[in-house]
Amino acid sequence: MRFPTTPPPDHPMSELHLPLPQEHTLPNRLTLLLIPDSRAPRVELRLIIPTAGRAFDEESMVGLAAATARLMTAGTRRRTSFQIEDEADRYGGALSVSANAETALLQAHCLSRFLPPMLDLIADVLLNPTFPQEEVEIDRANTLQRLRLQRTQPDFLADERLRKALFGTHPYHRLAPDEAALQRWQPEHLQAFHAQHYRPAGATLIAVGDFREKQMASLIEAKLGDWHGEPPDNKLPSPPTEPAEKGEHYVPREGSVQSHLMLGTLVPPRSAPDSLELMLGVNLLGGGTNSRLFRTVREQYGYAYSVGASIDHYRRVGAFITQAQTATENTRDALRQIQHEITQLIEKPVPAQELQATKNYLIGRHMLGWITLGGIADRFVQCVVHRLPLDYWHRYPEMVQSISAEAVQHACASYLLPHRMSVVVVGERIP
Amino acid sequence: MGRAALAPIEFRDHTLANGLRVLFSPHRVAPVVAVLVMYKVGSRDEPPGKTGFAHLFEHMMFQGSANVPRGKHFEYVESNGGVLNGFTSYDCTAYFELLPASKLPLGLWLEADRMRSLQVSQENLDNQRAVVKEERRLSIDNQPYARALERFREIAYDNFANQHSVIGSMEDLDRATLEDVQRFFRTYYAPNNAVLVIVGDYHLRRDWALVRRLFEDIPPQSAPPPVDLAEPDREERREVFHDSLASVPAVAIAWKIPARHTDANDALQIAGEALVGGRASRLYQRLVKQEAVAVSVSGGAEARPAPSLFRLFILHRPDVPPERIEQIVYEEMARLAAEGVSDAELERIRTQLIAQRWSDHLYYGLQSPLGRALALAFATVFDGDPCSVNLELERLLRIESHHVQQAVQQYLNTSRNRTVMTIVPGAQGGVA
Repeated sequence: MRFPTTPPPDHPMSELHLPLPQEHTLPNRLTLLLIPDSRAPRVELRLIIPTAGRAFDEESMVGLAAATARLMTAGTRRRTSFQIEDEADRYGGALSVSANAETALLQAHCLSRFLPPMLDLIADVLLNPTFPQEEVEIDRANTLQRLRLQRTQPDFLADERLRKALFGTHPYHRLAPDEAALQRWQPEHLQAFHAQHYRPAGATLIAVGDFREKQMASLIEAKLGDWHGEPPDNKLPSPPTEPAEKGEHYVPREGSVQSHLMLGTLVPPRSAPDSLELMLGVNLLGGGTNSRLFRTVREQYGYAYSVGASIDHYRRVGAFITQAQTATENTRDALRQIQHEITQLIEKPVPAQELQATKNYLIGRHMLGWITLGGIADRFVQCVVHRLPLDYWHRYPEMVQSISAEAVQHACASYLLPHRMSVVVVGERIP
Repeated sequence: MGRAALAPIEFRDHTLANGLRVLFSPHRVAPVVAVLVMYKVGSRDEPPGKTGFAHLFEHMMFQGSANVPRGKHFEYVESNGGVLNGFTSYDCTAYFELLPASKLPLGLWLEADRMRSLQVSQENLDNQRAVVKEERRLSIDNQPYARALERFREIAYDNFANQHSVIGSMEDLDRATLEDVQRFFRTYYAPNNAVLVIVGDYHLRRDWALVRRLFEDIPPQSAPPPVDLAEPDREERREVFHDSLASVPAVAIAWKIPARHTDANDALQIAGEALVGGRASRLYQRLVKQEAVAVSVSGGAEARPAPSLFRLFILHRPDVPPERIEQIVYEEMARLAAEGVSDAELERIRTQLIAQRWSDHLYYGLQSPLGRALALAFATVFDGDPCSVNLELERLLRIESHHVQQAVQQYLNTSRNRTVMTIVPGAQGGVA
């Protein structure tokens, strides 16, 4: 038989069955989202703390939220930092807490047969951290060194500058700790931040994996039932809707053999009505290897190895970001090409075939998110953080399929106009 | 330990008449399928003057074949809801697609078309050469420590086949010709030098027939020339590297150790876990916590199908001399050689090894069809037998304290075959 000159016909499509979490609310107003799934002998846990993120730091203590999160595993009333690490390892697991823009996230996993002791460890870290002085000192010194290291990395420098250009003084611009604050904070500051923000009311614990729902619910209640209180009713100031500094910004980096190029602007949050339309446009522009930017900036012109566009979602705003790293002498041409592709999106409706290809890409990526237990947990973390309904992902393919070329063009024309862009170049010289 | 955690990977193993080895492995957690082709060629096969060639060639594999015009490979996969990539390492090159299960025929057809009829032009070669140069600038030349670590590998090994980096040098990339590309394709991209792995939601009888139809008439080639990977014994080698892009001092230390799946390498895998596996490990606790002299510690034992390295990379505080870091490392090596690992430590490491097998990563571990496909391909290409995928964990779980002691004593608690590089931030650029 001759080799076919076109792809052989598809096999019949089988359906993807998505789970819907079982919701429980404990008397302390901690919400549980439970998804029993025995595909692997493992349990994934995610606890979202709504007001413990970086944006909730006071102006004089920028970095404290991240340090509090990081150091919760550095010692409790019952365990040293070594004991915490050693135990998590023994349960075939890991345990960490980190601060994002708005929320803090405790992430853990373990082999399913070690679930009860792992929950005991999590409860201890969550309720009883002591922030020992010597651990705070080690963290201070190493964070300072890490900060020095980050300031030598082009991607960090570009990201830091772009956030400032987009958000101005709004706390969303914060990425790294303030060096003066880092020198200043003491265990009592961390304790106070923890006592104030790490409260069960409004927090959500997601568990996915090899367990029974009822047992899990009562196990969690036994371990976290004594946790009480509400976080402060702190409201973040409204985020800006227009970038604080539009136009071009240059960050010198001596010895750079490439320019790190970032373009961005502010767009509506994920919960906004036209957010999916915009996301489709942005993926068509720079998501994956079939996107317009990859096909032109990389494959046609060879300006960059890595080029892409995406949206960083915050609860009340989004940041559209395009980036590429290119040889210094090609910086101007690469930037022009990126701007040209954005303008095309605004000026011309997307051809039907390309629109469908991008829809398939988004729906395909969505399917791949449901392969691993952690992938499933992370889908629901997004629902919680961005306040999306729990059946959002069930409806997602249909919502994507129903988007028209006109709606994509309209969304892009509303938000991606050239005069709304902030441009950052990190490199050896101004291009 | 629960039986589920240790469950083997099931698979079917067939070899086509042209020598292409084909593995099917069921995994039906979602309607997706992974298609992976691994070729037995890596940077180790590159002769002097042609460094970076295996990787540049990987880029050429996306530049068009008889029925798939340039750029269409990406489009076919992504517009059908799939993801794809390729990678080149010292010892192998792999290409994969993760697709909705209904698109398995597309994935197989794309891999078959480029295996049978890759088409390259001078224009495409020049374009991808430019892209790879940007990749080199991005990942090596513009990053702190990356040039140092590239140089480190060159001095840690003595045999050119093991020494040079996968990305290669700018000069050698400039020298690659169209004829080189064509010769490379004929020599290494033959069906008898590859393994095709299909993992996920497929139908064996139906899809086996499809594989035969698409791949079986691709002609085999004579086996590629063997490469000598042997490493001579030698005394310690030391170098100071001034890294103009770095701001924090670092020490890199490596010892040459035996290849994967030898008793010594297995024991050194356990030693690696004990010394630098996570924050409960000995070197992390001693350097970062107890003595508070280091910022971070990473490393462990490689498991190449060739002489490997046991590597350590330690970022340290500027007020601490690198000699102090070295001294602590050597003290811990001596302690491990003298005392071995405790029962409690060994139990912790074994549980972690079992848990890592179920990692959540899309490329590693048994949860992902791609992780399973890669594990099967490595076992087949590196060990010559896919069955080794199910023996790997067993090999490591049988290691006892005295095995660790013996291997550390012989290979790590010594200055023989050791390489030490101190990386000094700022000025001068390059080797001191």
